Formats: sequence, structure tokens, C-alpha cells
Amino acid sequence: MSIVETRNLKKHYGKEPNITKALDGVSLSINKGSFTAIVGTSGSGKTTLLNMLGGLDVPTEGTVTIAERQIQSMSDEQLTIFRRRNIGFVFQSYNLVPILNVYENIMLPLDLDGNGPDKGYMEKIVDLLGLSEKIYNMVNQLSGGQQQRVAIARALTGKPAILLADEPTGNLDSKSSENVMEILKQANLTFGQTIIMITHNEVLAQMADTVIRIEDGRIAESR
Amino acid sequence: MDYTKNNNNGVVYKLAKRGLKSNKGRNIAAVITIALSVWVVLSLVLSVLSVNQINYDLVKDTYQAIIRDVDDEEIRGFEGDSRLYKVGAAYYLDYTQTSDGDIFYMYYNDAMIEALANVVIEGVYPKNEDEILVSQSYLDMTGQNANIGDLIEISVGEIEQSVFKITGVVDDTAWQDNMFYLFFSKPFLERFVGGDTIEYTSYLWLENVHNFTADEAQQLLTQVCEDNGIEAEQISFNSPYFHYIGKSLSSSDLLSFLLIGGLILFAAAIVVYTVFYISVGNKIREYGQLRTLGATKKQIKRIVSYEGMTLTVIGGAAGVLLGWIVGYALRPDGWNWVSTLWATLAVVVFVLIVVWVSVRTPAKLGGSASPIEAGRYSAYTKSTRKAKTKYKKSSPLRIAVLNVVRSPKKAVLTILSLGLCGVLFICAMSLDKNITAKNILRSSSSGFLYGEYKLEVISGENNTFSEVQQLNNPLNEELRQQILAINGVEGIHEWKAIHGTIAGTGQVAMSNQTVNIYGYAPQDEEKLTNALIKGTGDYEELSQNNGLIVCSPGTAKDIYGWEPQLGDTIRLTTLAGNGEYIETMLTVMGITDNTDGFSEIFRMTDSALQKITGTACSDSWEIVIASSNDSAAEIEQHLTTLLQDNPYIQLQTFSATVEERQAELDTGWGMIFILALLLGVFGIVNLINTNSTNMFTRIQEIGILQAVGMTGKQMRISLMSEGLINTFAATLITVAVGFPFGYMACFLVNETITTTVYSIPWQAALLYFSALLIAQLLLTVYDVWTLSKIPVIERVNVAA
Repeated sequence: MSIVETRNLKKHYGKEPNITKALDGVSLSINKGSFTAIVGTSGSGKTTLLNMLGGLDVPTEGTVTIAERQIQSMSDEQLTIFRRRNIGFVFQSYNLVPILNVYENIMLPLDLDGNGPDKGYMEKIVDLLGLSEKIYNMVNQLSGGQQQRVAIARALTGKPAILLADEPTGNLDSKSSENVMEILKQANLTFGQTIIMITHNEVLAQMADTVIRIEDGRIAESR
Repeated sequence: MDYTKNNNNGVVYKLAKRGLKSNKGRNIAAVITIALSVWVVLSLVLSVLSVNQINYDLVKDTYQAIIRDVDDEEIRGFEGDSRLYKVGAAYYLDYTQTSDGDIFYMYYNDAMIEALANVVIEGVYPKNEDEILVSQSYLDMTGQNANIGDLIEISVGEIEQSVFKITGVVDDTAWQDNMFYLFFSKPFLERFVGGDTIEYTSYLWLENVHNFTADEAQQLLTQVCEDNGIEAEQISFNSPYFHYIGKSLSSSDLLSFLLIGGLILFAAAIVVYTVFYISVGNKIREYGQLRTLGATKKQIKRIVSYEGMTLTVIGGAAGVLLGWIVGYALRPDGWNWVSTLWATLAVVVFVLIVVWVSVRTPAKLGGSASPIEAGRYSAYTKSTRKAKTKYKKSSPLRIAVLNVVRSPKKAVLTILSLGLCGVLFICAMSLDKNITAKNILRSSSSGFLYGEYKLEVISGENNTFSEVQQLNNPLNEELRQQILAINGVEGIHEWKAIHGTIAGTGQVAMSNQTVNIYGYAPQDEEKLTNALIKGTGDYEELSQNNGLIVCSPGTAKDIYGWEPQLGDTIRLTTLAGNGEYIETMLTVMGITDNTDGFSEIFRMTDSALQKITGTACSDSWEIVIASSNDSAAEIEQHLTTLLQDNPYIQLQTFSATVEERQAELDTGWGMIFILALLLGVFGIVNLINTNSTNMFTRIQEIGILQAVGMTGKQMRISLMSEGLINTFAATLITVAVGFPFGYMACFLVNETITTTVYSIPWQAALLYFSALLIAQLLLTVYDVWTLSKIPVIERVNVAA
């Protein structure tokens, strides 16, 4: 069953003749509970695609449908609320909020939504990510790998249907990278979340169920 | 070869220049702040210097001493004394009252006529007995269209209907209204006195007086007099001359400059410090890179300092130009290039020091950038929270609070800057609300303590004032009865005073000085006693012993060079009711702290004044009317009619005096409002700078918050809450510090009013809060609008 669908998705910058086509007619369908890796060279359009899927960027043309709702038809306010309830993000540079401690960062989407945490679920996530010891630390006291694990915990905490990860291991050493990939895989298996991950690393991509290759803003391969 | 001595000024200068080009927002904030502070401080200094210059110009050519009762031989002695530059001799032959004013019949020698200020004389001085120099206003008043060479008929004292030939006309339009002068020749004066010895009043100008200090000049004049057989009691010094000569600034002016200038420059220093602190914080990575490439700490510090000094030169030059324009526009007559240049130099040096100190710490911060740490540094990646903190639910308000406290120094400086403006504003409003003309006049014996109207004895010349007041006082019993008969008049409160000269005796070394001693009635004893610092306020005791009460000994010292102590004795010379000058010893028996409305320097009991002079000594009457009386206009009309033919009584009304005094006060308080406004501009500049740099550095963070689910509404609430926190904190400082300071300011200006009718300016605090709230609201709206133009993902990906 498809949870994410795009139809003829385009993102163009500038005007003819100096037009840059970051995405040029991408149509795809991703099943619920799957682990999808999007690969491609630098500038191929993979991050643009991920931002479109997360409703962080607006397409020039085409549609994005998530959980049977077309996100282009939503207002900015509706989209934000939809995003925090249905989509989790993991960025390459962690993007944690420095004024909050680890637990507050993890709880941020729930707090902003006004919901209390599912304590059992939270404990599972914290245990799974190995953050129990650091839960009340400020984030600037953590290593890069630990910060990325906090970012993943934050993305998982609202039980989003989809987790979008943009080069989640890009800033990490090989051991931490493997660790993060394990966690993502575990989350996929344990909590049944749909994971869409961008990576340069072909080896890490092989851990996904599906690999989509983007070249020049188009899908070159899907396997 | 010593590589540390390489000349690297060029590269430092280039980097500083590039830094200046890349940071226009900071430059504008710093230049505006520096220019405004230099402008206001310099304008203030120049305007006061100009007033002093004008006063100096007025007195610089005037006499330095007056010698009474000098005969022709003594005048000749003075004229032959090489230590004197000019010797004036004057004799008051007579004066008459007319419905249009007073006519003064004078003899002036040539030196005195030459010294007449602000006049143009056509013709020559009178030399023969039947010659006369007349003032133009006299001719106008008497309706005579006479010219030089014409004959006019004048009666002088007992010499009636003499015919005089006009030898000259004095253009006296710049003189006081209602006073008309006629100048006679020496032969006529001799005829007038009828063979008696002529006792002139002599005016002395010292030779090369500008080479002496005030003390030296007075000592020399005393010596000259002594050498010419003049008693010390006959000498009075020209107080205004010695007040303005030899000092361009009084100590109170200097203190005001230091206070006001210090306040402005302190506020400016906060802004300059903050803008540079933030700017350096934002460029710390760049400085780290420079360190990596080999720049020393000292070089980084020099880059920052260069930037600061360059902005100071630009802002300072603009401020100096504006300061000169305003300074000149305010007082073109008092413009003096030498004092202007000195004042400019002083202000500029002061500002340079302030900016240098303000930039020093940010420059050190830049210099301390470590090549390794700087790469990871961001002014906003730091957190002031403890290493381990408990979980608290994140809400827009909490995020706002955390954002404010994450950089406490910056928050404190911004709030302090706004608070300073608020404090000054509250002080100005406190003064405006409490120190009103109405309150002042109702609390001072020189105002309207009791009545709605005041009748005051007046006279244009000091020498005749005593005669008017102590010999022919127009405030007599007949007038009293006429006034009391007016419907609505409830009573008359009389204030007494005498005019004379005082000189020290025993331990008190003071030469003759002119003085007014004011009286007080038995019913004022309690008020005066309450204000006593030492001595007695006992009415009977003071009356019996010719006791003198001195209010504000410090002021007495400034004016008379004598700081009165209990037990000091002075000799008073004044005109008695029998027309003779009498001498009386007065003893200082009480010293007050200048409160309770009795602000005149010397005071004695009414009965002592009457006892000394043998006259009523009435100085002024306050007319008390029924509080429910609605016929004030009729009473005023009655009084005007009653006094219209009496040139020696001036009628003042409470309402008109309030109007006049309020205008003066408004000017003074207006200056403080301008200062508050200036500090307000500094505060807003600081706020805008802090806000814009906050937004610049936090744009990514806000993007992240929105990416993980913060709605636009939540973001607006959060940003608005930050502004509200600033507003509340600044208002808190304003109220907590401003209200006590406002009270103190009022207390310093007028203790009596403050302790009796002070009211807190709540409305001002509300106004300040509202203005700040609106400013914050506008800034938040601008921030939200700016953010809305950048897609969330662009903000997330922006490099802070």
C-alpha cells in the first residue's frame, strides 16, 4: 500500500534560457513501512525531492500525496501541523536546538503539538538509541554521533508515518554511521515507520528495501 | 632579521576596511549613535559657553568697584593714579515721578558718559552750566520735538524753570522702559549743591585688569583706595563683573556637563559596545580563519579597533558639524571660535576614549578567537544553561525566555539601554508634573505664598530704591485701606525688606557689598525654625539682637565671598527713615538649609528691620482674596485703576506669573525630554541592531523549529514574547529606578514642593511601556514578514 506518491514533480529555478531543473518530472510511489534509499550524485536533485516530500519546499509543478492527502492543497499552518504529526526529519547537520537539553529536543514536536509523551514508547526509543545516560545533558556536550541519535529520536517521537533522512551519516565516522543505520533499520522494523533516506554511500543504500537513483532531476533507476 | 617588527599596518588596514564594507548595519548604528552623542553634548556645551560669553561681553568693559561719597580731590587722586585705567564720577541730583515713568537728573563725568552701554550719542557732552544732554526717550515722553542746539526748560530740585541748551541726544532705546535720563554739566552741579562739598559716587576701572585674577584685582582696588585715603566701608565691588571674568565655566555648569554628558556617553557606550560585541561574535569564525592563516591576536584586535575608530571619526565629524550649527543657531551673539575649538576638542577626545573603551572588550574577544574553536563557534550555539537540566515542556513562551537568557550580557545591555531612556523620561515627567510654576510660586516667599496678587515696590536704580522704599514707601496705610475696601479682598500679607550694603567685621573679611535683607512675620517663625540647621529661630531673641538668618551659606559664599558662621558679625549700612545713612551691627544667629520657601539669602525679623530703619520697610504685599470669589477680574481691574498713577508699585498677578514662569520651566524640562528622546533613539538603535543580528544568526534555528512542527502562529507568539520580556524588563527598570530618581530630581530642584505635593508620574510609565511595546510589535511584525519570504528549507540550510 502506497503512503507517498508523487506525480510529475518538477522544481525549476530561474527562467529560460538560464533555467535550472532541480527536479524534472519525478513520479514515484513508496509503500507504507518500507525503507527506501535515494541515491545520486551531488546536484542530482535528491535533496530537493526529499524537501518536496516533507512539505518543506514548494514544487513548480506536480503533486505530492502523503497518506492520501495532497500536501499542496494545504495552507502553511495546516501543512506544519500535518508535518509534525506525520513526518519526522533527520538532517545531515543534526539541526538540534541548542537552548534545549536532549530530552527537550526529543520532545519538541510533541510539546509544540500540545501532546504528552507515550512514556513506554519514549523509553523504547531512548533505550534503542542509547541516550538514557545523556537524557538531561545539553546537546552541545554530545558527540556528533550522539547528536544525530538525538535527531533520530526527535524524528521518531511523534510516531510519524514517514521518516525523512537527508544524509544522516554524512557528518559521522564509519562506526557511528553504521550505528545510525542500524537504528534506522531497527525503527523501521520495530515501529513500522516508512523511512526515506538520502545517501551518497552505495554500501549504506544496500541496507534499504528499495533504492531509487536520481540523475539530472529524473529517476534513472528504481530497484 | 626581526620578523615581529614587520610593518603590517597595510594588511590590517585593508582587512578593517573590508570589515567596514561588509557590515553596513553595524556601521549605521554606530555612526548614528556617535554622531548623535557628539552633537547633543557639543551643542549643550557650546550653548552654555555662548551664554557665558554673552554675559562676559556685557560686563567685560564695566567698572570693577564703586566708591561712595568721594569728593573732587579724591576723584583727582584716582585720576592721577596710574593703576587705574578710568575713573567715573556720578551724582544723582534728583528724580521725579510722572505717570509715564521716572525722570533721573544726573551728573556724569566724561568717563561715565563714555562708558554708557548700548547707546549712541549725537552731539557733545555738556560743559557749561546751561547745557544739557538729554535722552531721546525723554524727548519722546514729553512730546518735545527738540534737536541739538534747541533750548528746553527744566526744573531740577529747588532750581525751577531753568533754560538749557541741548548739546547732545542719547539714543536710549535699549535701556529700561519708563526711565528717562537727563545729564547736566559740572558747573550746573556746583550751582545745584550751592557751595557744599560734592560727594560723588565714583566708578573705578583698573589698568590691565585682565592680567589679574578676581582676588588680585579686588586686593589691588582696595590698595588703590587705601592709598587715596578711602575707607574700606566706602568700597563695593562689581559682583557681576567678578562673577563672569576669569572663568568660562562655573562649577555648577561643569558639574551639569559631566552629569548630562556622562549620561549620554554612557548610553552611547552601551550601544557601541553592543553593536561591536555582536558584530565580532558574528565574525568570530572569520577571525579564527585569519588566526589560522597567521594573524596574531594583536592584529585581530587592531582590525576591530581600526573599525571602531573609523566609525568614530565619521560619526564624530558629523556630530561636530551638527553641534556647531546648533550651537551657533542657539546663540550667534555668543559664538567664540577659541572656546568652540577647545570645547570641540574636549568632547571629541572624550568620545574617542569612550568608543575606544567600548570597543576594547569586543576587540579582545576577536583577538582571542582560537583557530580550532572558532570554526565551531557561533554566537548562538552557546547555552548558558547548566550541563544537566531537568525536562520542561517547550512552549513558544518558554522558547522565548530561553532565547532571551541564552545571551544574558546582550539582553542586559539592550534592556539597560532602553531602561536608561525610561529612567530619564520618568525624571523629566516627574519634574514636569511636580515642579510646576504654580507649585513653585505657592511654595516660595518670593512667589505667591498667600495671595493672588502682589504689589511690589520697584525702582530702576539701586541708589534711589532705598529712598523709594525706606523714605517714601508707596505701600502706605492709605493704599492698604483702599485695597481692603475692594469687594472680595480678604486681607493683605506684607513682606518687608531693606536695601543697603554690608561689610565684614572682626573675623569676617568682606568688603562692602550691596545687599537686600528680607523680613518675616511672627507667623512665619515656625516655618523658618523647621528649616534651621543651626542657631535659633526665636522671633523675640532675633528681634532684640539684630539676628541675621542666613539661608544657604554656600550661595552666600559664591556671591559675597563669605561663608557665614554662627556668631559672625557684619556691619549693615542703610538709609534710615530720617534720611540719614546709619550703621548697624548684625549677628548671624541662624543658618537654614534653604527650604520651606524662604530662599532669599538674608532674613531678619520684621520688627528688627523696622527697629533699624524706623520705617515700615514694606517690600511687597500679597493680596489675599476669598477662595470662592468669582470676581477676580474685577479685583484686578480695581487694583490696576488704583495703581495706574503710581510708578513705584508693580502689580503682579498669580495667573500671569504662572504663565510666564511655566514657559521658562517648559524650556528646561524640554531639554531633559530631548535628552530622554536621544537616549530613546540609542535604545531603539540598540534594539534594532540586536533584533536584526538575532534574526540573522537565528534564522536557521527558527527554520529548524518550523521544520519539526512549530506553526507560524507559535513562531509569532514566541518572537512577540521575546519582545515583551524586553519591554517588561525595561519598564521594570524604568519604574524601579525612574520613580526614586524622579523623586530625587524633584527634591534637588525644590525640596519644599517635593516633600509636600509630590505625585508619581504613572501616566508617563504607561506611555513609555506603550511606546516600547509598539516598537517591539513593529519589530516582530517585520521579523515575521522577513522570515515568511524565505522558505523553511532555505532557512534550515543557511549557515549561521
